[in-house]
Amino acid sequence: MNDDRAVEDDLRTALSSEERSVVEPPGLADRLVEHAQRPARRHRIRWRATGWLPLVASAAALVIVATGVAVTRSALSQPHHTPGTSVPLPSRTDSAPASPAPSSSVPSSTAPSSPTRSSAVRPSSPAGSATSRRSGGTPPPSGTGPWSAPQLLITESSLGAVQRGMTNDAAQRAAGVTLGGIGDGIVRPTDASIGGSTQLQYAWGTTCFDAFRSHGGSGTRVITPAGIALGDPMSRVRSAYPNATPFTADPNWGGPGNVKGGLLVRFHDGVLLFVGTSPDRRGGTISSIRGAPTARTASSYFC
Amino acid sequence: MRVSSVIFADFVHENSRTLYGTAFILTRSEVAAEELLQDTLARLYPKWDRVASSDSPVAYVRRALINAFVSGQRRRLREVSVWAVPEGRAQGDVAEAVTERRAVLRRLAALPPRQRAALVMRYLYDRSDGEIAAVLDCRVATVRSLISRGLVALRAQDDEALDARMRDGQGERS
Repeated sequence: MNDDRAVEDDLRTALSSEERSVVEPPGLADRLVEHAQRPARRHRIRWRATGWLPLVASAAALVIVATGVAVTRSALSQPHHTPGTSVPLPSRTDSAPASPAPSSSVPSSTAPSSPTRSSAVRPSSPAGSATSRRSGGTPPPSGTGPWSAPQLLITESSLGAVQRGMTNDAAQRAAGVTLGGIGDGIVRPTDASIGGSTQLQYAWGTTCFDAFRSHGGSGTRVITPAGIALGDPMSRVRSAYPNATPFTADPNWGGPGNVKGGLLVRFHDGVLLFVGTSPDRRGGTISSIRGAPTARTASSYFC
Repeated sequence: MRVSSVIFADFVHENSRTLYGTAFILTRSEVAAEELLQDTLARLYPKWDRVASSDSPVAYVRRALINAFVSGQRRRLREVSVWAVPEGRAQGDVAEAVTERRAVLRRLAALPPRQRAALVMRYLYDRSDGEIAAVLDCRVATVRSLISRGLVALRAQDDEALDARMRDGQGERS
């Protein structure tokens, strides 16, 4: 009898303290409202898409064929890689890349990252063409490995080894962890412990990358090539990216689930959106870093 | 509809943390908890006027949340769920109380969903047998049985863990 009482007391204590200590992920309420108010529209879109599917599939096939020809010509006209340098990650045009290394062979993020490797992350952003430049001559931080690594590099078109344009299978191989959809096209590691307190995800078919801190504590360090990391003060964004501009969500775009504000840095190939913990999302510490082709995409609930 | 939308949004912003807490305790996974809560609210939204006019909208949503968790429609959630306290969150915690709390939650997570839901409703929200029966759509006697079996299972796991610790301790000494 006393044992029963002890178990009951332990359970009551554990449950109440656990409930008190749970911290909701940032932006949860906005996402919940957005999701609840949108299902009918999503179904309609799906139905329409089904009707246009043959047309879209034909167009996609044409694009793939055309891109394949262009890539082949480009590959033939370029010199081979010097032995010893790292293998470039697949570019965004790779629909089924063969080379994203399996988790065992993906270089550890703790290993020194060579400039060659770093440049492979952003093959489409030639030096000098970006609207925003990387700071100084210092090499970008390491972090182009699997998502289980302690540090990951986020750019406007990649998160760790996962790059924009990869298929889900390729992204999973590159991430080195099992990924699963949670709805609305958002994909995350199925093992919730991956990343610790840092939530890693991509959406819209490897178009938008997002890393955010769902609660305090240790987690994967997510850092930009300029050295700005999740959890840093937002003030550091302006010093590292002088062309960072305040971002305010377009009132005509989307619903309450979208990011309300932040600091936006534009690049040749996309944007990085830094979201802070202050009410206007431009101050405090960085709770989310999003990389996407456009500001709209980066600020979307679906990112 | 617009008024309902505003009320709904206000409600979610005010109560998302506590509802997420319930979902997290049930699912033991941040991803699964958010999805469970998301789906529950999406299902309730079309009839939000009814929810808002209930005695306690929070209790209404919580009941729906637990019901959704228990129902067989949550198959995908269960596949995704990690039935363990994420180890990442335990790093750095050395306090015995915290360790013990995690152990209790881990044992709870090993129970079948209906037993777990019944125990959470009883020992976290102090719901009566009748209220739990209404949520789980079963008889009061079944609720008593679920709770009783759940406690027995928790105690059995507790005893097994204690035995294992004693065996380990003897092994080290010998």
